[in-house]
Amino acid sequence: MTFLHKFPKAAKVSKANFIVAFIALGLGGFFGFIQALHRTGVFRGFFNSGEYYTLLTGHGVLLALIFTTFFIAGLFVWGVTRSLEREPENMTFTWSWFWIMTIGLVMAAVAILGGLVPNGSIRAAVLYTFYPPLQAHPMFYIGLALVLIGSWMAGADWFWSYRKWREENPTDRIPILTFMTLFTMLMWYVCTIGLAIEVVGLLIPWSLGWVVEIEPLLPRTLFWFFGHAVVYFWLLPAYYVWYAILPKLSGGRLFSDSMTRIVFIIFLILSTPVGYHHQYADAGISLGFKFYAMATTMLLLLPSLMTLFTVVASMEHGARQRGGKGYFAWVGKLPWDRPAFVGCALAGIMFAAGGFSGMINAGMNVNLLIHNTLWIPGHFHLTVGTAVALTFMAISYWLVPQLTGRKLKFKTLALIQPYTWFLGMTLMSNAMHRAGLAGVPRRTAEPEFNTNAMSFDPVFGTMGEMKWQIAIGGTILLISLILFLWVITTSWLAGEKSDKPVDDYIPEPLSGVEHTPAVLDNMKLWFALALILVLLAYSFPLWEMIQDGIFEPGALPRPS
Amino acid sequence: MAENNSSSSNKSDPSQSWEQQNPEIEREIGIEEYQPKGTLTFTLMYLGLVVLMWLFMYFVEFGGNAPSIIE
Amino acid sequence: MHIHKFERFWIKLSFGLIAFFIASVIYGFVAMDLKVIGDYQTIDPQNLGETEFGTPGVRKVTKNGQTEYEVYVQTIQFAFQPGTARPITVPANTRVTFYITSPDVLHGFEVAGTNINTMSIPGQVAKLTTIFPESREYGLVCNEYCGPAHHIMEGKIKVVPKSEFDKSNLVQ
Repeated sequence: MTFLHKFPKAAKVSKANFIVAFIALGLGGFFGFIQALHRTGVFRGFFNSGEYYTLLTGHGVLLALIFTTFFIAGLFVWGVTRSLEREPENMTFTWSWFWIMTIGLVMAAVAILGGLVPNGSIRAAVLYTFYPPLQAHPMFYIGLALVLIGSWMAGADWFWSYRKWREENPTDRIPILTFMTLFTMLMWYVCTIGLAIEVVGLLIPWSLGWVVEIEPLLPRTLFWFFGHAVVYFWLLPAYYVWYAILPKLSGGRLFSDSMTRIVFIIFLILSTPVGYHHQYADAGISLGFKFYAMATTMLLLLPSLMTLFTVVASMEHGARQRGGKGYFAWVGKLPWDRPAFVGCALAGIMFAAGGFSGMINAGMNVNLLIHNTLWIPGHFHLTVGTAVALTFMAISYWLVPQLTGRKLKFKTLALIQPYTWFLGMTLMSNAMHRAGLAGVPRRTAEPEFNTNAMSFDPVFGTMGEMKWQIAIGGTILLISLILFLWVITTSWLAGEKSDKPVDDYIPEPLSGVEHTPAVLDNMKLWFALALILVLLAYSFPLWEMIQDGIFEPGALPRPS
Repeated sequence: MAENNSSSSNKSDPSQSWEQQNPEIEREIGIEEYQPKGTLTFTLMYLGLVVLMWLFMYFVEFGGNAPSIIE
Repeated sequence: MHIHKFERFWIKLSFGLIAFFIASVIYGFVAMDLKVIGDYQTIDPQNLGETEFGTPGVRKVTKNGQTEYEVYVQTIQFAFQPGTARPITVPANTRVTFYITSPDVLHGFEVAGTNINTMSIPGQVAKLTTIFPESREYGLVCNEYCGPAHHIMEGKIKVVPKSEFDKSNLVQ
């Protein structure tokens, strides 16, 4: 008996979400490959430089917003169903959020890809941050709003299951998989307030022409109200895998249940009031609020550093149970021949490196050294592009068999895949960091100076060597992606049917929930605290920005 | 974790722990016994590295990268 | 609650690391003059012609008995005015204050290979003061996506020795 046989309805929902996620991953990843060759100048024959931004928008939206959101929905359906031992309460409701999100995704994707049609009127080359006054087709914004509404309904679905479970189990502690899901969604509700106001309140009426002018700073600020917390919306499900599943894959148990809960609570409280750290270089935001954002951002290092300890300690526990010894030698006893483990572990190592560049980004003034340079995509290809994406791919090797009741095929290819991703990303991201340090900008089809006979002056290495590392790294990443999609597709369609395609048992933590203070499960308390900190960070600056009118000082829309 | 043991296991003896049922595991290590000294070593090395790289990035790369915004 | 002694130690160190980062940012800000821009003023992006931005360029001002320079820059799709058609020329070792805004969309204002890096947002004026320590040319890059020809948007800042600075090109 595996998940499919116990919860067939939920398995179907999870699978549907994964299918959408993997299609978005394939398409978005392919765009990334084209960009890597284009911006390095290695091969520019696919599209011209003006179309580059359409592909870049597709890459960002499909991977950062669509792949993540759908994968997370599938993962959480699995976790909530399994840990509460109940199917979703109402399948019509469950399928309705899935289809609302899917319709929204298709609308946004059509608007973006319309940019590749010569002389087409539908365009959305506004990148995934869609700062006005660059204007996309209304379908783009409406599609995004639908994805958002669908994700809210998905969260409501999981709270509904929890309520019903609570009625039947009034004294039990919240199971850890459900706990992590609900706290991630609480954070999502806090931060998406900003996005909803921006998209529904400002951008949709403006793109439809109901209002003509727009004040650029207000939507930008509202975007970053959402825009940093969204990275934790991607990251927390990876943490969920590292806390709940990785210890068992390592042969051990989660080190501490209470630490896990504390980490998720800190993320709920601090994820949103940090948004100005994306606006350190902006006029119109006072130094005091920039400093407040830096202090909260730096405090957010704490839960990630705690996670580092807890997760590594859980892996070490597994290694020692498998016979590991010494200070360092135990690492060799970890199952480096199992794709799910290898992917999660390599993702964690990459996250440690990405964590460091994130610390630089967070420093209010040192940020200017790398603001909007290639360093930034170098950073987030380590975090969301590896810590999150590689964890999701790796855990698919463990989850998809449970959802389909079929064993994994091509296990050797599956094992090679995370190693190739790690290699490709090492090449690409180290070069991106160094190029950014030399001042090479991000988000550009042709990063070289064109007419001025100026050149960038790298601190480490040469521009030529960085260019080739980015191009070759991007190519290796595409190969890794193809391996992943091949293994998953063939296993899904033609894997050997089995009652027990993987060992899906998850042992209790070493320090279990009996040691965890009850106050940690008080969702109302932590949610209220999160709202208060958001009000402190945002109420005054937003109030100030709208004093001269919500759309003033107004700028005219510009085609994207 | 409210996990159901029935979803486990190759063997059905409920008195055996997960570790005892798992042939890859040599010995079960309980919470009283477990000292994550390897973890502490690695995390301390990471911390030291991060501090050194921060000092370099902040005081050499950034501090020595004039002109800067002075007001 | 059961927290292992190693983990307690690690959490204390983590707090120390956070305090160290914040302290070094404050130290750099106060003692090393490594600032970031703050709130300055809003402006109507559709009527820049009526302001100093209408005649962008370098101006000479006297502050506290010292000669300083002010540079008004408009970032437009897809050029810096001034900066692209002709370089922004300023003297070395002199205080120069840039005022930067945009009449159309968001742009970036990055002096490549330095710490001068700011956003240009329609409706907001970015104000920053700097001193160029050496005479050389700097590349100017727009580092925020601003439309289909974003990648051609670039310019130049020419820093000349104080003694060779030609004041005839100043905006009055």
